[in-house]
Amino acid sequence: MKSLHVKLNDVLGALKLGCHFDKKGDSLWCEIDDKALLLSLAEILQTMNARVCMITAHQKEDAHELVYHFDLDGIMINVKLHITDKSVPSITPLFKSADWTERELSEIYGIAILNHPNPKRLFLDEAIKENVLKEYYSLSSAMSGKVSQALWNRVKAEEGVLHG
Amino acid sequence: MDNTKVILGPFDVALEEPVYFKIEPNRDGKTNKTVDMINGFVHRGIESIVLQRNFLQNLIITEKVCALCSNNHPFTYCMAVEKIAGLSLPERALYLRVVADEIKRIASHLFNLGMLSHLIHNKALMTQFLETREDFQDLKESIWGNRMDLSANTIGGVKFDLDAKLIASIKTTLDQNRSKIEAFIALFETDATLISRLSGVGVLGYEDALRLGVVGPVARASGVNNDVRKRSPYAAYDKLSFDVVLQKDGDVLSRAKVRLYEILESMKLLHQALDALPKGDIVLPTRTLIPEGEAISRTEAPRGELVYYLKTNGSQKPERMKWRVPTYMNWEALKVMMPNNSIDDVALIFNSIDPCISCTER
Repeated sequence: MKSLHVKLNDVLGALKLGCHFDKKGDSLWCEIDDKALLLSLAEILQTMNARVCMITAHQKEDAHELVYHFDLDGIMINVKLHITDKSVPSITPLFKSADWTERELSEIYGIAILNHPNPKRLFLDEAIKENVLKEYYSLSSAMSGKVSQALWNRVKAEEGVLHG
Repeated sequence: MDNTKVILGPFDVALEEPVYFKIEPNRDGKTNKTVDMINGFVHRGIESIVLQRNFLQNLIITEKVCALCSNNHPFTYCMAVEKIAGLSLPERALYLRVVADEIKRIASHLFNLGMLSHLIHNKALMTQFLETREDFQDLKESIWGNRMDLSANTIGGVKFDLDAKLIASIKTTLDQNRSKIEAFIALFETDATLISRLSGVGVLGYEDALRLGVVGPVARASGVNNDVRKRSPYAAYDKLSFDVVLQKDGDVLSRAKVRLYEILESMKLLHQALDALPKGDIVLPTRTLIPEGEAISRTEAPRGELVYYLKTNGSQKPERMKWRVPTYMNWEALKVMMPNNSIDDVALIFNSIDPCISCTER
């Protein structure tokens, strides 16, 4: 793990990023304000065979703080990005492992993911608008759980579907 | 053949939980060309609910996210809170956390293997797996008073202790079941009918496993080792010895074998943890206020890596809390596993990632 620490320090030093390891040495925290820099870092991590574990978003007034959590051989690299325009470039073209977590950012926080190869809704029905974290929806609508005539009619309306 | 689609779900007896599969068959009408899956039938908005509860109330909410991984959720959540508060736990608590987690892992793996047997219509084998699991359910009941939600963890330690009698009963259960697990392994290694039914079904190759970032037994069955217990040890795992089980073929059979061999490794871990159980407190004596901060923590749940992120602001409720469960990563792999397999095997392949939809969707 030590050689990996040295390697990571080199990479991040070259990008002039301020980073620090936590006490235990198994997670690294970095801050970025530039979206292009995020993509450059993602490209480097991709060549090092990292994977995306998760992306967290947090809204502060009109701005968002995103935290990209990458795993690299047991070290969690947490990259913080501050955005004010509700949009980020997708890293899914680099990391297939980011596919779902980016789509979740859209539906829960209404953040536009630019250049995502599969920008469909993840869990919530299209009838529910985006950016819903703090809004109340009844359980049956949040779960698309009404197994009623309405749902069945929608299934039947899909072209070319064979009903067993 | 026209491009007629076959639908399975969202609510179907072959599925433990609701998912909506849209299957496009090949020209033969018997095998899958593509499989599209629609989720969201058990989305409860728990990530929003936890922001409205305090840190102790969230112990209960996190335990209820999922039934089979129920212990890992409060466990990983506690680890994140403890990191922010800078707590170092009594040694005994760290070992007891391993004990709770490994007993849950054995029961969880046996349940998945029971479901596999059910889906290939081997009812006798299913009965044997579930009867074996029953011993571990009874064990959980005798230690924690519950068969699924153990409520074993709390911030700063654990809520249960083991006396000599309970330690002896755990060891007896392990010893009584070890030969049964070995017999299951022999069956999966040598039984021609079983092997021909399961091998080559739902294959996920090494490269695809790496590319998709899959975790847990799904990754290890394709030869990718990202067992959190080894790669980023927590609790007492760095003091205990065990092997990471890897297979090469990446099919349904390999995933079943990984789970079977892992049960033996869990038994090994339990024996070691019980023999080396340090004396002392099980929980920190005073309750701490949680300061402002943020942390990330992860554990190896029965289905793979579970990640929690927590951000606090000095109040006694989280400012942001997010978690990602193993099935969330393994799901996209189904789109690699399913094509050109028999339509009849959709439910079998689906079961082989040991899906947990209620915790994936939260």
